[in-house]
Amino acid sequence: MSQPILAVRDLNVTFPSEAGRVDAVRGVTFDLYPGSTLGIVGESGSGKSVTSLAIMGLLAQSAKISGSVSFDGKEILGLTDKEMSSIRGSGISMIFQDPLSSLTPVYTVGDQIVEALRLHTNLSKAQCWERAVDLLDKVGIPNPKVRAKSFPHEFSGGMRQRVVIAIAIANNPKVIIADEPTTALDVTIQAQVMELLAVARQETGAATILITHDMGLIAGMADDVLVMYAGKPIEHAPVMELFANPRMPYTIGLLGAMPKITGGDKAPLIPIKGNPPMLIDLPPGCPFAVRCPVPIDLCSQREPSLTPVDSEFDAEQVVPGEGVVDYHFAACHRSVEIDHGLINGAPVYPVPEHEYHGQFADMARNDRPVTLSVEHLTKTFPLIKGAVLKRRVGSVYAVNDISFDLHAAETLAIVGESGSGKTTSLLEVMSFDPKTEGAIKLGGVDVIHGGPAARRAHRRDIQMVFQDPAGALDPRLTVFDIIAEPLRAFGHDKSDIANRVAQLMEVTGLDPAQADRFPTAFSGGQRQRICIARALAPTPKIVALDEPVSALDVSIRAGVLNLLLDLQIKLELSYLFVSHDLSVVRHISDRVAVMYVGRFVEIGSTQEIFANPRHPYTEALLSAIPVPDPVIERSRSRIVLDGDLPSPTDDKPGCRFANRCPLFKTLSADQRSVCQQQTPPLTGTEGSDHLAACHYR
Amino acid sequence: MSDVLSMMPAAATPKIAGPGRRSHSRMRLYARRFRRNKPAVVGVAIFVLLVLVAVIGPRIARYSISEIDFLALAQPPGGTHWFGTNQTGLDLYAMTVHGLGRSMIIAVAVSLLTLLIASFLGALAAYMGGWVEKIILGVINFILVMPLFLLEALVAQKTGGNWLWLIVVLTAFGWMVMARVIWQLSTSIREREYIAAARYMGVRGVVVVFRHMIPNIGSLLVVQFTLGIVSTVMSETALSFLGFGIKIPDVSLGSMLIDGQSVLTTTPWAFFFPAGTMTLLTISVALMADGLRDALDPNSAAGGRA
Amino acid sequence: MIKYLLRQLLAWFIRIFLAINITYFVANIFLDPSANYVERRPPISPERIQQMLEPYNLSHNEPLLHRWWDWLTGVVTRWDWGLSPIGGSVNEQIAFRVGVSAQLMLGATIIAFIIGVALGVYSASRQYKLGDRVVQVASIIGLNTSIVVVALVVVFIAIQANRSLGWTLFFVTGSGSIGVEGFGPMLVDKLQHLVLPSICLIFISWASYTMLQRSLLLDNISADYVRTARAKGLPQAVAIRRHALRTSMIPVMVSFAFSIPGIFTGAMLSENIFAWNGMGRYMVTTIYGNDIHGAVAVAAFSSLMVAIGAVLSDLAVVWLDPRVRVN
Repeated sequence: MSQPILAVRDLNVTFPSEAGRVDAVRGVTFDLYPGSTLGIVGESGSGKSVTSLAIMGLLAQSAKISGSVSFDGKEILGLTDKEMSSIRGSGISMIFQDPLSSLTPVYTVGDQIVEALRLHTNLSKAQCWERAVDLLDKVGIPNPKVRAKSFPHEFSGGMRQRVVIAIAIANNPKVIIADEPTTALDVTIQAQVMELLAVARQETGAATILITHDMGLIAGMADDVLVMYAGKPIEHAPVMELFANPRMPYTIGLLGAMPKITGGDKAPLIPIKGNPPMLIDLPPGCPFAVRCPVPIDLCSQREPSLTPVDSEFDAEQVVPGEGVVDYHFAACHRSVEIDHGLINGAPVYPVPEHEYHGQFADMARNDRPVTLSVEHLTKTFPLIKGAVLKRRVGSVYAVNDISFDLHAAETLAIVGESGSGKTTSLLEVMSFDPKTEGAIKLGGVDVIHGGPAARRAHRRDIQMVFQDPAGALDPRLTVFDIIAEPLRAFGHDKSDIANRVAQLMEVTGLDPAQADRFPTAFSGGQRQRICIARALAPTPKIVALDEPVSALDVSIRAGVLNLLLDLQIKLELSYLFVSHDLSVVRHISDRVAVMYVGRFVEIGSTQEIFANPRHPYTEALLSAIPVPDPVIERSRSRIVLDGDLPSPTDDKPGCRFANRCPLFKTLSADQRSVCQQQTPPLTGTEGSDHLAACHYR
Repeated sequence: MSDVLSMMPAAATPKIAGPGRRSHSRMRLYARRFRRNKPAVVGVAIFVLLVLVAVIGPRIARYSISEIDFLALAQPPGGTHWFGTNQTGLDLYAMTVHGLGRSMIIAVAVSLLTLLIASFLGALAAYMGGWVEKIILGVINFILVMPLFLLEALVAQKTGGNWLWLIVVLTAFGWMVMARVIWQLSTSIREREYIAAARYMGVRGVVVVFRHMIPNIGSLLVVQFTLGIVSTVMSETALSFLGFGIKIPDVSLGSMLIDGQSVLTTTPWAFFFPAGTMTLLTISVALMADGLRDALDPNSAAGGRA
Repeated sequence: MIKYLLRQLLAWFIRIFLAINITYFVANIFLDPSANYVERRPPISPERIQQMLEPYNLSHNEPLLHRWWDWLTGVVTRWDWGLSPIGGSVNEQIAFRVGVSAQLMLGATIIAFIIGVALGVYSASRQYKLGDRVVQVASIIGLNTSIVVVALVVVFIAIQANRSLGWTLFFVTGSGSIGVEGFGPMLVDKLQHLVLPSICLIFISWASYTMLQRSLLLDNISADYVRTARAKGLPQAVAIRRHALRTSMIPVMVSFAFSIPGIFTGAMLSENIFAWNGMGRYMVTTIYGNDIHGAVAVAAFSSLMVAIGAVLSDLAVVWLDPRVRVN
């Protein structure tokens, strides 16, 4: 076990582009040992995916690659496509991010696995098919004999990722590269896939490269970690060492910027200011220097190289990958001074000041006025079967009889996986559609049954921020016009509008001098600030937030979350917050409602839900979230749910969760029949506002 | 809680750059992208030249389109008849420049009218949705089953070659496909979140259409208009060539081709001048449309790795 | 599936029925069979003309609605599409001309499709290289040149060729010569007549397939599943052929399916220029001859073909694309 299976030395990748040469990867070096897992972590544009594609030889021809990649002792950089083809899939295989698009839609999954087998073995077609069925069985596809003949679109996303993994392990590769393998999946499915990857690694004994932006996954899976920024590795250490004592300010910031599921609430996160640089014509010096809280003159003059951080980690003695070995590289001129997040005794990132005042600060929840109350909201869609042959075969209960109150200066988070109906609930509240079933009351007034005048009068009280800021901003309007739009709609004066737009931009951390620019000129985080400014323009009492930070990079996220908390305090806003990310929810919300297939299964204060979850689904959901701390992550046991979310196609009585429920499996037959025949109502102990919908909890 | 915004820290100096020069930079971007597309630039050059010829050409012609020179029947190009004459002694230069102008006027007018009808109905269907959308689309799909060319020919031949009538006929039977294209794009715009956002802000429907929908399909409209010119020239040629469109004493490029076949071997110039002019016209406009499509596409990488 | 098809067919039937009847009235407004006799020497009195037209159900002596009803019953009960102003049977004309059109169009349509797809694939695989640019420019020319111009240029060249050869290699008119016998000579004669109009039809129709195929293939070449296929170990060219091409062919095949019925409606302009007595030329003839029944039959036929094209392309999607396959 002393020879690395994959050795990368000074890998550089550049692309030509309209704006100039893009230096996508700059000097990546690492060794990967058999059976070990290397985590490469970084934000979008950090060069982590390009690195993996360069190793696989899958980059476009226009890419210029230099350096060395040796696999099993042989240099593979510069091999022809044909020569690489014999290594791809058998020596090194790869799992991609988006399972929905990574299988060819016109072939059965069986055929696609057989194709991989036939390329690298001499097995007959029938033998290959048999092996393909075996592989499907191994990756947990139920009924593999039949399902092998299915087409990719007949599988869910999680199931498709299992098929992709089956293809990747078909030829017992020595290296598996997993590029954001779970980013497109829901948390409970993510837990399944990560477990499967661990099994696959054990079975094949393959070394793994796990590429991700999620520090939690790294903490759970990786042996060694390589952190990348602006195309360059900036820190490289064993996982325990890296999390315990990061030595480069970017890594420290990345860990500090993540809201923690185990952490306290509403304490401000530590944002990293600014945005990642463009990789075109990088100035001399450290690319992180402009965002770094502790730069010195040298930082802007000379780019630090990746070197051992202390004399005790001498580069000559380093044998990475062999158990716990002391090595720690960082690319920072000041890494010697940094120790456990402190620099010369002071924190590298000073914790932002955070004042909490206002009339509701110390008022109990029930004493604050109710700003929004939703009663028995139900939304059904016609269920259409067939793509050509369209006919209604039933109803989809996207939202099924949900009720909640939102008080002033309070945040209610609705959490759930995709398909749970959380966004639909939000849109239904926003639409003020008179055909909606149920009641939506703003400040006690039923707005949807109150006629057009009432609807219009209450429009300005509730505004929305969307998940994807790029789609929510009209690309043909300037920022000024975008923020002014609601003001104009509500009939403000011209002079008033200009003042308010400037105010709003300032409050949301934008530069009013940039009001004449178009949204495309701004980064993702800034665009989301524009969306927030627009939502605040008509001075609403409630802001509906649909996954407002999930499209943003981790280092940007913290700034936007801080802004939201800050604004809530200053403007006494109620937030209706929808998210799948429990760590963000834990951080920002006062109350949480957990949604599963159109219904609330649990609702209560954030503290209560996270400390004492009652519903088995909530429990599983909480345990599925990876924690960015290798010590905790490796010691806790995880509840992994079977299967996928059922589709909410009927409204039969019974608990929707029963087929996946771990508790259900332990029940007696009599108890089970209760679950299957009676829909559990939301109940709680007397006087408590912590309610759960489970017969046995 | 009257005005919570007033609780915000007052912005001391609202230095705000007003909405002034924004459209400039955008136009410049389009122009730059367009200029990079060499064939498109060539297309514009040819088209401008043809417009000049159509406008100035007739003024410097030595003969009118109906003036028969009995001394010069079927004369090859040269002398006072720059493009030669045909077998009846008509001056081909005068006819070609006049025909070019006639074809252009018809094409531009039809394309413009078609665009108006199509964008009104297409956007209306997309914005209203529901039964309005169903009816408009149903009507469009039904009309497309009709034998359109036959109907065009029936009506056009009855109107005796009047070019104004030809515009009416070509418009009346030619707007459906474009309307469907505009409807399709408008529905995709309709689903955008900024439309939802505008609705949640209480922006009125008409304003949404004019502020968000039309500007965002604007580039499509420009391209459709350009392509409409080409297809109109083609239909006009087909009708006139078969004798249903422009007729003597008027002249269009299409009608000049009628006797092309019989005289091909004897006076080939009588065919090649109008045919060449027409081909230059259609291809130059098509090149322009191609360049516009790339330049105006907000998602375009501007011709790839240019 | 069957139920869906039947419903589609019913909807199409209604549309076609309406289209035909509307055309009947429009044709009656704009075509006047009596005009055929106006210039006669010696002149014939209008009454006499109407009398002459009576047996053909074209006389103004009978109200339009009556004539329409008679015509419609004829169509529905006897499949009799009526008579021309000189008494010829419309049914016979159509039966004969459909075959002529098909002879002309079948080969040209298939060849244009093959050339178009092949060039589309070629051009996509050399994106932004010289070959691609040449194909792009050629397809812009192909798409935007009037077939009248193309046809006349082709005729011009053919005549020059015949002249310099001293014998007739290419026939510029007609679908066949009279008096040719034997399989071999007939085949050669047919080809001599076919070659020119085919060239013209191919010239103007290949480019749309090329454009479509090129852009679809380019979309698919960069698709994630092609990358997956390469990661399995397929060389790039094979991955593109097996995965990207197969997927991108679907819409192209569907558009081809849609165009198949066009074979029988003929090519109006080329049939007129090359004097093939197919459906396209028939349409022009009926208008000139004020042949109301003929024109309506042409309309009916072409509506039917549009419908068949639409149904065929629906079927092609279902057949080719597993994503919409209905169980």
